[in-house]
Amino acid sequence: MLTQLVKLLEDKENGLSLSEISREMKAQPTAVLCMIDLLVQKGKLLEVGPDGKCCATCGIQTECNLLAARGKRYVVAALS
Amino acid sequence: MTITSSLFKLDYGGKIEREIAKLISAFEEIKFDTGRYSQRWLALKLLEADADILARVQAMPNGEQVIARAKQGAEHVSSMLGDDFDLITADRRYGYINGIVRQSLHRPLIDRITLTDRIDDIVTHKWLGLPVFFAVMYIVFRLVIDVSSPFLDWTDALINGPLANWLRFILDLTPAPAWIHSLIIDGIVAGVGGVLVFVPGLLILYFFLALLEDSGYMSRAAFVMDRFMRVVGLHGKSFIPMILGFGCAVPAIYATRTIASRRDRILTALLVPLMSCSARLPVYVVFGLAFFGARAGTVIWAMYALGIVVAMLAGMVFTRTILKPDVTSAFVLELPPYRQPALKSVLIHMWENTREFVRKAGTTILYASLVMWWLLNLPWGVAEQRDSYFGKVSGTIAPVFAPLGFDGWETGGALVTGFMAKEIVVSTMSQIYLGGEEAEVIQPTTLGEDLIGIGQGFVDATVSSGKILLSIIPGVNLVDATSASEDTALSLALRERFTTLSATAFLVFVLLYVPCVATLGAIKHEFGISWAVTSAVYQTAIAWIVAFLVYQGGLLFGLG
Repeated sequence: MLTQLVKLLEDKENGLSLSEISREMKAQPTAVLCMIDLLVQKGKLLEVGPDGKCCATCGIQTECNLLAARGKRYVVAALS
Repeated sequence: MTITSSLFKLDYGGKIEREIAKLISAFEEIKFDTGRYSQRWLALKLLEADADILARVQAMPNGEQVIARAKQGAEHVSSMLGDDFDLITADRRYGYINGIVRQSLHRPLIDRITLTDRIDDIVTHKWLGLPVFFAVMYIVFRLVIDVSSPFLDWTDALINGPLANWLRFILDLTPAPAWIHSLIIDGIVAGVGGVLVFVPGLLILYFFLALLEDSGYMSRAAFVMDRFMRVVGLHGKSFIPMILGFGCAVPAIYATRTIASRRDRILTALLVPLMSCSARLPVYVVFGLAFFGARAGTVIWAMYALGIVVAMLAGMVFTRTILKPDVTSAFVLELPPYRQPALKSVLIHMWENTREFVRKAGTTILYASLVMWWLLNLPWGVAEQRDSYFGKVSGTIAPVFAPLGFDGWETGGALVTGFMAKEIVVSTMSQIYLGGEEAEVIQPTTLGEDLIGIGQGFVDATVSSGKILLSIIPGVNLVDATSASEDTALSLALRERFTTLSATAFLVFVLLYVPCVATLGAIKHEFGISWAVTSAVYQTAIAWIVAFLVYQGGLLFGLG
């Protein structure tokens, strides 16, 4: 499943959101989120904002309206 | 105690299983006692380089050697499979879990986000978004105006019928002089009651607004209108109060609370009264029928359009002068998922907003009603209205309107009373030109008869509203076609005093001049006295200028 997830994102230059990934993988978002968290933790994936910029370096993630409304996107670290 | 896992063993694949087996062999070779841990589980954790387990094993006898072997094995597997050992095992676990879930559980995906996306594809579409928005607002507008009208009539009848009669009865029991009777009935009941009549409309308006807001559609409407509102230096959120301004400016002013920036709120509140409210409609209808006949509908539509155009121009001027856009008013749009509105939340929203209107606007109207009553009745015993202070003041300001084509004291007086509520312009003119209404003969009724009448009226209003509601459905018509009653006598009187051109200038002036006292009260309450004064002054100035241009321009083109 992790391999499948990474492969899925390798084809998406602008990454995918959680809902898009779960739809593609036909799995529940909560289950997919655990996989994503592990891959982000291992440095395989990067969290990016809705505008395609990296959220990981932003200090106001918890207050970001744009992020709250549109959600994070994920890209493969090697491609970013 | 030793933890065993003999019942279940996940197969991680040949390469990993071989490394696990090699590490277990190493435990025995190095004489490493795994203690309370299962050998297989510990081997797996060591290969995954679990930080907690590494720390524990390091403290155990021969732990260093075991860790070194495990590291070697993990690197070997990683080099062969091209990924971290722990990721490979996690992948196998997720794959196994996924297989079990697929075989044992059949359920549809939670599709709320998808549904939201699908709806948004239509309602925020580049071309479809606007027609959808106008369709939604048209339905809401019709529901508020049409469905509430039977209840408005019922409230009007209640206040001016039984309630006024009960007050008269109570006053008759007291030794209060006649002027106290007049002050309470003609001043307070007529003035405050005139505002309370609109409460059913407000309840219905806020009900539908709460439905739209709680469902998440309001955010989409603001998104759709955003690019148009930027022309006048505002954001999409300002459009909702402006739409509400077509019904009544007072709730529209309060509706600006949804806008975060104070500058945007003020600018919106200054433009909202330029939207032609429903109170101006009686004036348009009376003058339209008197002077434009079959073209009355076009003239009324033109009044609404003129209000929008003037609002856009005024917005551009304000944006470039006293209300320049601030850098902190960036519009961050949140599009929450659609959800089913909770009835309790909607009802609370509806009640709180209406209560605010009754409390604040009602207070302002009460004071204004008292002042107007005094002005109409002073000096004491005045026989003719034109000799009252009100009549004299009206006569004094009347010359101001001479360049606009209407300079009679009656017109000036009607415009002054229109300051209380725009529809009073018509009733004042009717009283002045037609000599006032005859005193109504009140048939004595018992309290029981009054209560039955109130209940019956409410039932009738509910039935009428229900019919109107159903008639909104295309192809359904449960409402009898009734033509608006035409005040022929007033029309004739108006034709004697106005020309078509001066009547047009008068309509333009009524559309644009000072907002009613309740609207100014709302602006004062929300933004302070200075902005209320600004609103009154700038609108009156614009009204005078535009009416002047209409009348004098018309004369120049020989239309007078």
